Amino acid sequence: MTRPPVRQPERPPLELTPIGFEVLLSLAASPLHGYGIKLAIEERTSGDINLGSGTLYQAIQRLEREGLIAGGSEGAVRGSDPRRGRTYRIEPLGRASLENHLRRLSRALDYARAHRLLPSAKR
Amino acid sequence: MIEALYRALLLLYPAEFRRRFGAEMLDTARALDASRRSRRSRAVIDALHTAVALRAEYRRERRFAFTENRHMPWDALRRDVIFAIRSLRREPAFALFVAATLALATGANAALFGIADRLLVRGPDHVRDAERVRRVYVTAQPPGMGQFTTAGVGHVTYDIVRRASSAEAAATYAINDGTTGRGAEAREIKIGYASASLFSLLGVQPAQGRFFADEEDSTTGARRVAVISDGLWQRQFGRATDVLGRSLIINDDPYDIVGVAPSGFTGAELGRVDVWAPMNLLSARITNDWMRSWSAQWLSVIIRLRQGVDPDAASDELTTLFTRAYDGDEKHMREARVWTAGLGAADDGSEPAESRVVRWLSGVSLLVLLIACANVMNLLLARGARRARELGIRRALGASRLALLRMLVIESTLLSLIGATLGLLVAHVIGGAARNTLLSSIEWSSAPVDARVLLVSLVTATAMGVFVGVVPAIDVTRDALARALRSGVRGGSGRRLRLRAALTVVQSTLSVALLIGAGLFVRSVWNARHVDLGFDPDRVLVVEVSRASLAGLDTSARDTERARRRLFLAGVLDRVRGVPGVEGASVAVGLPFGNRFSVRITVPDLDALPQTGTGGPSISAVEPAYFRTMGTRLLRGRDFNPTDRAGSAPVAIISEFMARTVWPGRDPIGRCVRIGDPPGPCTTIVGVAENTHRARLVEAPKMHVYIPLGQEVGFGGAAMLVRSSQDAESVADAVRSELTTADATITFVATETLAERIDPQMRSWELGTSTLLFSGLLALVVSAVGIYSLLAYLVADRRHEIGVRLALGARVDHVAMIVVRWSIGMSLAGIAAGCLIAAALGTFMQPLLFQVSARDPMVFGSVAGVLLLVALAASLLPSLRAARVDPLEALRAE
Repeated sequence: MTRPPVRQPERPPLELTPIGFEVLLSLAASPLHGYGIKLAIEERTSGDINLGSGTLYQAIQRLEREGLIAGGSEGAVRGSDPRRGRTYRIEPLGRASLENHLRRLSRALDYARAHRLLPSAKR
Repeated sequence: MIEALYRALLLLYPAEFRRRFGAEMLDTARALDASRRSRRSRAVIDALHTAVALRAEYRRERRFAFTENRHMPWDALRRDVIFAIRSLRREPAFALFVAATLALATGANAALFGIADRLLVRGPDHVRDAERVRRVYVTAQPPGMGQFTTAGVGHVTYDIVRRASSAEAAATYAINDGTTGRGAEAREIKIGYASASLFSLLGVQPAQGRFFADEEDSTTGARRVAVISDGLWQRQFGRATDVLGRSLIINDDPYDIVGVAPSGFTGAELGRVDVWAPMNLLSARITNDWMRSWSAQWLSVIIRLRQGVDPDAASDELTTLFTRAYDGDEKHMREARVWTAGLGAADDGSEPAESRVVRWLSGVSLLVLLIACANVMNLLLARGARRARELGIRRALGASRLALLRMLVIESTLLSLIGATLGLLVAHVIGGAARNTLLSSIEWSSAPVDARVLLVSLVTATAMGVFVGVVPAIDVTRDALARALRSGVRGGSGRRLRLRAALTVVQSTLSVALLIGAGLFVRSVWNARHVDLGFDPDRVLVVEVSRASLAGLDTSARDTERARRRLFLAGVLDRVRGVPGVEGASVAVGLPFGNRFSVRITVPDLDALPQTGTGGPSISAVEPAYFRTMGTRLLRGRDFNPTDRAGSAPVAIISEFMARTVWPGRDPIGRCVRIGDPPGPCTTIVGVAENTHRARLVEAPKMHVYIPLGQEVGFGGAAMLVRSSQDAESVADAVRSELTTADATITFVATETLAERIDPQMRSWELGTSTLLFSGLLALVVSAVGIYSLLAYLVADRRHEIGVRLALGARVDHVAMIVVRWSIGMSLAGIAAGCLIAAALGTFMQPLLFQVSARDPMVFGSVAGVLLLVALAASLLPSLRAARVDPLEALRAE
């Protein structure tokens, strides 16, 4: 499916911290509340990354301040149990920063596979 | 459980973060409750770790923001406070001295404020809308006397007042001494006999149970119910929860306890009351026709004015009702005036002596505070000079003058607050001591340091800190930059020197004024203690017995028993005289500083007794050994002897004042007087005794008649007098046991020395003396330090000049004398000004003094001498230092 065109942000994409990257990745598909972000990251990384709520919300605050995500109104999120809590969605700048980071990661992966540092991706 | 822990951990987070994300973090915590323990532990550690990190991050952001914006006033304040603390730590002696000075000054003020607040402002506790509650007074001019005001009225007056339309409510009461318990457990208590309306009028609620009702206070037969005070509930019943309904023995009769009064309730006065009982229980014992008698006056009456009623209009109405209702023959009663005054007024409607003294003392303690402030200002000025360099550097680095000023004022305010905090401790000690020793008749329901005192101290300390810091700060920051570039202390501006000298003179002035006040009070107390009362108060013990009630006996048995009791004390005199340590004993009805009975005396050949302005004659009935026991000298004629008794020829001994007033220049011995109304038989005068004080330390001589015990008609109430070879207290126990052994119906023996009866009148002078002495001495010490510090500064400042003088050949002792002359000069200025102030205030102080002029030259001279000595002592060290200046070194340090 075609993705909607990314609106050009006013600011250049920002460098992401590892946790910031994971949070943005979780929000890329749909808005989530805090706990949902934490679960998404755990699931995606098969439990390797298990964020404490302190760390998580510290990261969320930083991302909010930098304008990469925005906290929306409280309410239930489709697909998960109804909970109190804000939902967060990725902002255009966040999306641009995420894509920037992913492109770089992708280039690194390609290089790793080309030099047999990683097994080839199963197609 | 994890949630509770998380809640606590959230408190570690910065407030802003907690507000934003706290709820969500708690949600997460709840979800964790079900998970593995290792996950929970990791979560907790993560929370702690993040809290610390976030706080550090926030702090960095704040500092960054401040440097950028300068919009964080609290940061600046905090910085200044921290800096002030560090700066004061570098000079601990200075800080300690200033804090101690301020502590003593503010402590004394706080203590006095607490006392003044209670006596002058607040009045009795548990009174609703106290401005509308007023006490009733009657002013009349009886024949032969000046105008006379009393708050003591009869029940008939109460009835009149009750009917007044300006009164929303009226109540009456009388506070009497009594005993509770029997035999060895008997204790003296204060009983408040009150009408049932007293409590509703005052607007007080009982802490337990109820107050008594109107039906229980009926005029035909009041019930024996009692409301005990909180203090009595604690002392006697240990705050038992079942105290209601229990029985309490009062004056040997059982009373039912129906209620407990709230803590601090003392009725309409400030003195302690242990038990409240229906008024008519007392009324029935006063006299047979107590309901209609105009001369029996044992009650106080208070009213609550209706809203909007003017007190003067109320007085007019009361006067009209009173004079209309009076149905007797006495002209002065028909012309009497009935009026009201606030609850704080004394028995004669004027301001009580204690209140007047407290008012004065409040002024005194403010003076002390001013002296302390002047001293601290002086010290701060000196300190500012020492810091000239530091302040100059700060200016050079960009600090504004305002910032420097703020820093210095914060420092002085901090010192002041520290001083005030220490002062609260001082206030607690001084306030407690003053209350217990000098104002013990008042029930103090709050601690010496309560919330109001705390608040006032805090506000005063802050204001004082700013006041004391501002002037030196302004002076010191002026030209701070330029001053810093000059080396050495030299170059202190003439202005600052003059300011400091002026402050020192002010301190000396105020100290002199205070010490003069103290000296005058000391002399008053001394005079009061040495007044010739006409008897020896320290060696005479007054013994009064209480007995089991006569209820339950038939009339003839009652009369027999009453007769026996009347003769008991005289009959047991020989036993008492045998007690070791007893020099003499006697019995009397009508003692000095005790019961006073006025009497009508008719002299043949005289239409009326001469007017004396001190009232008509009073009478006592005394046993033959009376004058020897009391130490009252017989000036002429003879003493009574055992043949002068009931039924023998009537004889009398009169006071010397009466002798010279009624028979001026003639011998009264052998003359005839008729005692009583209607006049009794001819009573022969057989002796003249020296004048004695009958009721007050300060008293004009009065006419007094002594008749033999047993010949008295119409008055009674005998007391035993015991004279001991040492002080009277030493024989009290032995006498008590002799009496209780001799008569089983005695329930309690009250003993009191005559000196103890007089003591309450000494109290206001003692209070004044203690406070003025303490303040005066404190002021003296502070002044001495002030003089010393200024002289030390001057010597350091003028080192160069001194060095020059010495180099040019001046003698060392001359140089030292220069310093001494400075000191004497300042003191003389202070002495002159202080004496002028004391002399000017003398007119206001005179009424408070006793037999000493407010401008007594001995006191003024002594104080001047003391201050000169102190100034000399303070100049000793600086003058020695000046003498030891090395001219070469002084000239070199240019």
